[in-house]
Parts: sequence; C-alpha cells; structure tokens
Amino acid sequence: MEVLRIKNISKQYKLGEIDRMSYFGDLKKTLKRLVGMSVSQFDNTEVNDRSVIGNSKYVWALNELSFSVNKGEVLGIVGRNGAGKSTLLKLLSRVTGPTTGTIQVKGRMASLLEVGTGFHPELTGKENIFLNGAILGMAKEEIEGKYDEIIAFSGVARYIDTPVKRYSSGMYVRLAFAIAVHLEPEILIIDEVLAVGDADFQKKCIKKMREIAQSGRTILFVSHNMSTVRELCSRAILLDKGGIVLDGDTEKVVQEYLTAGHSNSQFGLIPATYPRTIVNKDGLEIISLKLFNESGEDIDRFFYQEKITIKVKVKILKDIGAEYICLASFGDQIQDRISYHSSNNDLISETHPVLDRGEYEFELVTNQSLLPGSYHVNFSVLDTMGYPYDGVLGYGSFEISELGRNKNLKYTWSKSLGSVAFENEFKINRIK
Amino acid sequence: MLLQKGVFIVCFVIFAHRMKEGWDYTIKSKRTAWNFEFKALWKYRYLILLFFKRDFVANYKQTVLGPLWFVIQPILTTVIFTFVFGNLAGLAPEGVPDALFFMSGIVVWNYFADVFVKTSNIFRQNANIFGKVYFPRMAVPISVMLASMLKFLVQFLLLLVVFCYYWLNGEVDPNLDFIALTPISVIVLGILAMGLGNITSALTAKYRDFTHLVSFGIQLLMYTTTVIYPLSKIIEWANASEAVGDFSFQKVIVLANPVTSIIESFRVGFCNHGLDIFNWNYYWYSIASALVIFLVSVVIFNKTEQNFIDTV
Repeated sequence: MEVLRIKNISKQYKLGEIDRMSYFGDLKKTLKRLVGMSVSQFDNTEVNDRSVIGNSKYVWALNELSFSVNKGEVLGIVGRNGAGKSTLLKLLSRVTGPTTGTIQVKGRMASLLEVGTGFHPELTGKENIFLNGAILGMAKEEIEGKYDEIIAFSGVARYIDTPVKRYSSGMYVRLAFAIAVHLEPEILIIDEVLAVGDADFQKKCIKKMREIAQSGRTILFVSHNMSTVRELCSRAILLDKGGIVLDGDTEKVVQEYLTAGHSNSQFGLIPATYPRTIVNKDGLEIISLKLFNESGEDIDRFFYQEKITIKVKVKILKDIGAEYICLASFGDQIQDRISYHSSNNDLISETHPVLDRGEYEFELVTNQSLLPGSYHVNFSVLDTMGYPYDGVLGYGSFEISELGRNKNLKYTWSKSLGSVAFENEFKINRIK
Repeated sequence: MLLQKGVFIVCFVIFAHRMKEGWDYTIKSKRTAWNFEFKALWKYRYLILLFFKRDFVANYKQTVLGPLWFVIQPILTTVIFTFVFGNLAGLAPEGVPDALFFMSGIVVWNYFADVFVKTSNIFRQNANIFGKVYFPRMAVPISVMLASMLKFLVQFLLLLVVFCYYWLNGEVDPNLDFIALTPISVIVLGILAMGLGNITSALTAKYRDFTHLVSFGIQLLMYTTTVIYPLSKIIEWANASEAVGDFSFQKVIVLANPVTSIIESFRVGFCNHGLDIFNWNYYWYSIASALVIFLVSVVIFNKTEQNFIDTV
C-alpha cells in the first residue's frame, strides 16, 4: 500500500547573496504581479552541478522527481553532496515548499533532520522531552505515557534535570533520537543522525529502526554510510544533480553509488612535467597509467579485496632487452609509507619478453588487500642494477571502500592497526 | 444521455472524494492565500502552551530577581518619566497624579511594543527550528502574544496597586465603565501588535534592514501616541496652529495611531482624565484596524512561511 507519493517535484534555488540588487528584483516582480503582468519564474534555471560555473543565478536542486513508497519499506536515499537529498527531506518534512509538483502523505510523518530538533538549550532534558515531543506533534498524554521509555532508551537518566546546554553532543543526539523513535510515526525520516553517538548507541539505533520497520511502519533513511544503508534498507534511490539515477534493489544502488562518478579523471596521461626519478637516461618513458576494477572499469574507487589491474603505457627509446624490472607499489596517503608492493620480481629469469624500441602496455593484476582508505600509486621501471629508467611516485589517488563486492564482506577494524590485511587461518588447539 | 452524464458525474464525485480521503495531507507548490490553520493549531495547542511557558520561564532563568523584573522595569520608567516629562517638561495634565498618568500609558505601550518587537523577528529567530521540523508556524506568534499578555497582567496589577493608593487618598476618581473596557482593549491591542509584527517578520526574514528599523522605530513610535502627553494637549496645540492657518499634521498622526484611543480609554478609566474629548469612533477605528491588519498579516505570514527558509 502506498503511503507516500511524490509527483514531479522540483525545487528551484537562487544562488548568490541577498543584497540591494535582489531587493529591487523582488520589488519589480511584486509590482509586476500587482499590475497583473505575468512573471516567469523558471526562465534560465540550470541543472545543479556544483563544480561547474553556470550562466544562471537559478538552479534546480530537485528536477521533476517522482517516486512512491509503500508501507513498511525502509528506503535508503543516497547520493553525492549536492545531489538533492537534503532538499528532498526538507520538502518531505514540510520545512519548505516545492516549486512545482505535489507530495501526498498517508499517516503521521516525523523527520529527524540533524540533531535535537528544537531543543531549547536553557530548558532541562525533561522539559525538552515535552517540548520536543509537542513540536513533533505528540499530545501531552502521549508523551507522559512514553516518558520512562524515552529516558531508558536515551540512557541519560542522570542528566534529565540538567539544562541540555550542558549535555555532550552525544547525549544530545541520544535524547533527540529517543524522542523521535518513540513518537511512533507512520513514516520516519532520518538524516545522518547515526553519525554522531558512539558505537554502542549506533547499534541500538539500528536495532530500533529495524524494529520500527518490522512493525509495518515506513522509514526514509538518508546517509553516506553505505554499510548502514546496506544493512537497513530494502530499497534505495540514487540521486544525482536533482534527479533519480537509479531506483531499486539496495545492493545495486550501493554498487552504483560506489562506482558511479568515479570514472577516472586523475589517471591517464602523465604529463611530461610530472616529477620523475630518472637515473638511467633515455631508456624509456612512462606515458600513461590507469587503474581498472574487476569489471574492467577505469576507476579510482575499489571494493575491499577487489583485484586492481594497473595498465601502464611506455615508450621504449632504446633496445633494453630483457634486463628490466617493473615495480609497482601503493603508498598510504596519510601516513606516507609504502604499504603494498608487486613487480615482475623474477629477477634472473630470461623468460620475460625482450623490449625493443616501440610502445608497449604493461598490465599488472594485483590481488590486493589494502585496508579501507586512500592510496596513491608508484610505478617505475628499473634496470637490473636497480637504477630507474623512469619512475613516477605518489601519482594519483584512489580509494579502497570498506565494503567488499560481496555483500557479506565488510572491513570493520580501524586502519590504525595497519595498512594491509593478509589472508589468514586461525586455529585454536587445546593443550591441556 | 442525461442519465449517463449523471452516472459519470456521480462516479467522478465519489472518485474525487476517495482521492481526497486516501491521503492525509498533500504538499503542493501553490497554496491558497487564506490558510489559517485553526484545526492544526488546535491540535498543537499543547505546543502553544509549552512555547508560552518557555518564553515566560526561559527569560528569567539564571536571574536572581526572577519575575520581579516584570515590575521593576515599569516602576523605574515611571519614576524617570515623572521627573523628565512631568516635573521638567510639565507635560502631565493638571488634577491627575503624575505617576499614575505616566504609568497607565507606559504599561499599555510596553505591552504593545513587547508583542510587536518579539513577533517582528519570528522567522529569523526561529529559523533553526523552522528549518528542521513542521508545525503550524502561527503557534509561535500566538504563544509570544500570550506570554506578553501574562506579563501585561502582572504590570496591570502593579498599576492597580498604584491606582488604589491614589484612590484611597482621594486624589483620583475612577470611571468604572471605562475600566471595564480593559479586557477588550487588551485583546484588540494584542491582535493589532501581533498583526503588525507578523507583517514585519515576513520582511525581516529576507531583508535585515527591517530589524534595524524596528529596533529604533518602536522607540520613536511611542512619541506618535499619547504615552508621555495627554491627547488634550495635542488638540489644544493643533487648534492654536490651525487658527494661524496651518494644517496640523501631527494631530492626524496621533489620532491615526490605533493605540492612541486605547491608551485614552485607560486614562479616562484610571485617571478620570479626557472624558470630555473621548470619541467612541476612534475606539471603533482601533478595533477595525486591528482586525484588518490581522487578516492581512495572516495572508502574508502564510505566504512567507512556505519558502522563507530558503532566503532567511
């Protein structure tokens, strides 16, 4: 059964400052309207692409968006910064009105946009429970009935008679979330709140949200945290530049989110001016370097434990025969150390191909198991003495996601424990 | 043919009705101009009560004197006004205790100014809450007005104490008919101030200039009504200048100010001053202008609340 139907929703925003010019613009529009002239509202409105300087002062934050949500669905809404997620939530929670289109809602809808919606810092936790509950549309008796439950869930019982301005930010969220989930709305809108609170509380929230979903109510969940989206949502929508790119199975959307928009811009041709380490001169020249994922896409974002293929184009300037070593390594961008290393390490073998003058493409497939984080690539070709013909260090930047391609694979530990995970076997043998 | 048409219409009506019934509410791009949400406000009455409490209580948290500040302010103002405008400038009329004369004006004006100033910044001040959650926005100005009304009540009791002092000393003779007007005056003044405040708040939401205007404008506005001088004095002055042949613009402004007739009704009631020049038409005018301004403000407020968060 449909509980929420969104039809052709658009939202126009004006960029720039509000100043004298916009004042006279407003005045002109109002006067025109008063004398009955038509004022076109939509002229010159552009698609919202934040990185491109446009010609118009107006953009579409949302552009002709339509979808509907059924009862009991947990819908994840994902998208890059500026894709329109927050705007959509603002429209749904009736904070601001759409420029065109309609939204139809069945049942009570409560939104949890950011932390402590409408908490008053001077009032105590208890007073804020009542105030916040009332703001969210609860009746007095309803709040009284759930008061104990809310305090128990929030876990801030000790502070309940202290003004909330003395609370830590985590306690703030705990209380705010506790009130909102006990409101028992038919539709609950959640935006990134889980990012605050500690691990213990996050677990509690996820459990509670699952309970809410199972009790037949509907949740709209906006997040950048793909593992939470994967865990909670039965369906997801991917937004980009104010429109829906993909609507459907969570798994598909998450994969699309992680890979889309990462088509490679920073890898490719290496400019001649790029700093290189060259000792053995005029041997060869590295022209370009590209990374590919398991599905053969040219990309700078990889899943955890996904095979990375490095393709390097080189131009051989003189016959160097079979006496060369290719060396690729990945550097940890934050701690600035080399963490992974692979090469045609068969140093003595005569079997690898002889390189005459000409252009070649090297292809190196690594079975990497870098921990989630950001890395750069080093690639050099050395002679057998270890002197580089040509080498580029610290090139580009790619990311390893904490999710695996396989749904069950997920990296949970902190990166501070190391940079690489090995394949291990773990056994316990009883001795006594 | 006709039957077919009839069946079709009936089906359509049922269908349309169903469509409306199925959804609890619809968010649309265009709303009607008149949209005073009585039903929603009634549903959120508990919120209004809490806002009212918050406005009233939060003001005096972490203060030593607490609610005493409600009476300290009019007492000090009265003392200063009595000295400056009474003793030095001699603006107070003969036969009325100066303190009572000024206090009756100050208490009424304070109430009006309080509601107006506080509601004139509603959108900007509450952008934080308004930006995150929906509730009938009108709940805020209403609760502000109620909180100010309570404050007025406390100050009104102070006025009564001062009045009783002079009454028992035989220095003043009240006009009970006019004192009985007080509740009506309070409501009219509240609606008037809230209406003006709501209209201003729509402007301050986008252009901050109006915030500056309000903050000193309200002080100047006090001089356009009869707080520090009696109406009789203005009329005397105007008659004198009209005799010379000048049109007295000042008199028109003072009479056009809807607060004037309300202050005058207080003065007649508590000071027994100005009954001879009290004109009921001006009192009706105050009521009418309060209603008109309020209705206009609802339309403007309603238009603003839709999208103001984008431009605040």
